[in-house]
Amino acid sequence: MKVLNAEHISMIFGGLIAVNDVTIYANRGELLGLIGPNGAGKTTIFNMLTGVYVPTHGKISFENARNNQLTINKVKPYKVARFGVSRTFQNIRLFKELTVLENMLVSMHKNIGYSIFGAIFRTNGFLKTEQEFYESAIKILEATGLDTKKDELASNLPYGEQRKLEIARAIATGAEIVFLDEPAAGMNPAETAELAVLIKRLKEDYKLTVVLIEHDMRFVMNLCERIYVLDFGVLIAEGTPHEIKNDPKVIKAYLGEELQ
Amino acid sequence: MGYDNKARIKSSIKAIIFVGVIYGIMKILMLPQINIINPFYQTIIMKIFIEITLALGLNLITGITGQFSLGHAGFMSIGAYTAAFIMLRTTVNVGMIFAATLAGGIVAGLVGLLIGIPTLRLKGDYLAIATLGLGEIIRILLQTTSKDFLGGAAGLSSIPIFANFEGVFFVAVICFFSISNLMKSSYGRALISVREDEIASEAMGVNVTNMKLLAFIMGTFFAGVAGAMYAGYVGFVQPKDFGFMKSIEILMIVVLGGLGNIRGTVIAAIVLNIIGVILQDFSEIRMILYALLLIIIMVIKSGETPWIQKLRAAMNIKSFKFNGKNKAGT
Repeated sequence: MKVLNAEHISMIFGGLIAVNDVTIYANRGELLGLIGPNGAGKTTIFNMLTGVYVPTHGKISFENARNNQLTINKVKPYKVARFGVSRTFQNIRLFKELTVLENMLVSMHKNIGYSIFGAIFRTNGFLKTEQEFYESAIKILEATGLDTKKDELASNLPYGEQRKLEIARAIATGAEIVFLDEPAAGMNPAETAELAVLIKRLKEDYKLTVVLIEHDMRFVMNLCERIYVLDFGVLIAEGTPHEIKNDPKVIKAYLGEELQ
Repeated sequence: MGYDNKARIKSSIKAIIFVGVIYGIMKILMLPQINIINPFYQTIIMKIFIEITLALGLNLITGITGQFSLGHAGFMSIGAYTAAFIMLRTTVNVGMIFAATLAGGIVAGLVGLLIGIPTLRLKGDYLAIATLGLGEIIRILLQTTSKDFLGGAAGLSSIPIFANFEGVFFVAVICFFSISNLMKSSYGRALISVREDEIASEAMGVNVTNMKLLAFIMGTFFAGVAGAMYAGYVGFVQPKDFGFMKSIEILMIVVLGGLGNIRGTVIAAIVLNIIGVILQDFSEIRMILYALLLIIIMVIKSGETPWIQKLRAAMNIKSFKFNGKNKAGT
């Protein structure tokens, strides 16, 4: 069953065609990879899929577990997020002056069960919601191993944990589809391996569909079930890691040939 | 985290006792027999409470939500004129005073909503300039009104003195607890997330536009209420009292107290007013000192030279930045 369906999407900035007629889809529970050289349009695709950019051409639709359909055409990013689509960012975008726990709680704000007056007068609804938010945030933090640091400011976390917190925060929105933009960037091999295990486990535990952009080929090839390859805004290949590894077009454009 | 009922009741009782004690002490000191707070000091204290209300509202907009506004005096004037207009046409009783003050806040909040919808799309410097312009537009519009309606350039005078000590005190207290309780809720976290990173906030499902409007409406509402209290405290209002410098004065309290720091705002309002009283015989120097203070605070809070960094670490001051500005772009 397709949870994400993007048909013939293009993004044109002035005279620049950043993404040209790309069609991608994701099945429920899949772990997809999106690879390609820098400037190929990977992040642009993420931005289109999450509503930040409105595609110049094409149609993007999502389907959630309750079989609701959402076609995003000029739908604001927060509405896309509320439908169950979340993401992380290439350059970490945590709420730096908030604690780890508060970062998680912001993601749950969309499910708020009390009004402003409830907040000012501290009604029972306020207490109940805060308690629920707190419990589910802690659960996700425990799953990512960040629960011991819940009261630290996000900006004080080491780099690797900031990346993890971003993933945890994306899951906290209650998302069914999560887009990870270079989750392993700047990590050492040990951390990368640990991250791969974490992503796999979170995917199973929270029944997620994951689409990730990554330059670490070992990470992508081990983790992803299916891979799309972009070059100059055009989709040049699609297939299993094995197929991609041996695709001459991909080798020429991105992976590189072995020295003769 | 204290989400249980007992902690809530305990903290509420604590807050009520705290407010009660402060009120009691001031009331006792005001007794004619003791006369430590004489009527002169009493007017200063009332002015401080009005400015606390104003600055808390602006702190919600600029400090907490990160939307740099330079038009706060404009919203204050709307509240002041609304209340004055009502009070000049009715009899003075508790009900009418309450209604006029509330009306001042509501009208200011409505204007804040109308102005906020187009201007809150702007960021950083552009928003500051837009709100500065709108504040001036409000002032000039008031200046050009007819004499019988809002008094034109001469303003409205002989307004009944309806704001007493209790009025301004409880308005400030209500404002303080509304904002501080809001800050401890999901709304508060969402407001800060807008300041910290708008793009991430929106991607996490926060309706950024609504959050900005919420802060703007609440902030301007309290500005209007404070304005109404101001009208009932001085007895006359004229457009030139609500110029650009008034907005700057309020902003100065917010910056001095720390952007986003609610208690700091209260302390800063008290400190700045006391300095103002000490220097009241040299009113020109007062503004120079204000400007100097602002420069010094900016340098201490954002300076990069090693000794300033050391000073900041020693005094445990957080580095200062305007968040709307330094994170533009995707």
